[in-house]
Amino acid sequence: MNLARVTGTVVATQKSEALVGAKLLVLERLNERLKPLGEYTVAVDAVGAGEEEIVLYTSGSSARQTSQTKDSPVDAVIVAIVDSCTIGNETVFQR
Amino acid sequence: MKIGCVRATVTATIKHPVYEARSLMVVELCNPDFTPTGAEILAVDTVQAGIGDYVLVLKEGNSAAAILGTKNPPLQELIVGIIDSVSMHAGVTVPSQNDSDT
Amino acid sequence: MFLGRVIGFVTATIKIPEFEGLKLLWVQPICRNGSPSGKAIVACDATQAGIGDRVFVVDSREAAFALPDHATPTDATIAGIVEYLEPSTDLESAK
Repeated sequence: MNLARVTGTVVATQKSEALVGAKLLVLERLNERLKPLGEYTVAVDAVGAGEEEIVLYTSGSSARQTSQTKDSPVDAVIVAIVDSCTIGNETVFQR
Repeated sequence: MKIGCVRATVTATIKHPVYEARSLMVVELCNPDFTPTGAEILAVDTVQAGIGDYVLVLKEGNSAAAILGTKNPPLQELIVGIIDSVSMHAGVTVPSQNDSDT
Repeated sequence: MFLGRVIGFVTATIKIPEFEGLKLLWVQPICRNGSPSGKAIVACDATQAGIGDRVFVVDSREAAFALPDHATPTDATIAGIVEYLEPSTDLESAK
């Protein structure tokens, strides 16, 4: 899984039928110190995340295992909203 | 499949049961001329490979399950062959045991 | 699969139900000599690993197979704690 900040929403009226009802968010990947890595991904939201929130997302075929994304054409899904992130004994993020 | 060189064996006491009685190896991936790429992966040995051997590494979960005869093993990478030679346009390359350590 | 070192952890209250009770650890991928290789990722833990432990991580869809529920939407799981490498090439002494 990777850490990311929700930086936007994608609206697509014309899309695969299997994606109807899915909330699509733009994520910017962060490193363990919450520094943006300049990598962007569009992910399906399975937890009700909002803009600017720090989230954890799963990529690849594993992303199709949540109840929301079962049998959907999905390669990234938000699986958690991060409360805190600790490196060594230092808390680098607290929600 | 990828070409690689076995660099080390991994010993782990706490591990998933599928790794019991199996050898886990550190494999450095190589080009077809056996020059190392620097990238390292872990793979389970199925052909009695040893350190310094140039091997064929499979990376596909369903095939790994079929070879191990286990349903849903938590791994994709298996060593499935020890390479004798690779032949390319430039000719046949045979691995030399001497360049096995970098 | 790859070698890594546990460098931290992530906590989350709001998460998909499949992640309930799972520990989420930051893992820095490493080479056999202990030097970092590539970016840190977050992995589920199947081994009770702790910060500083040298571990091996299963990635992709097969990551879920290291956990009791094979349908967990994880793309990285710690499947073992490394005791030692033979020949030992670690610059630091093992764990």
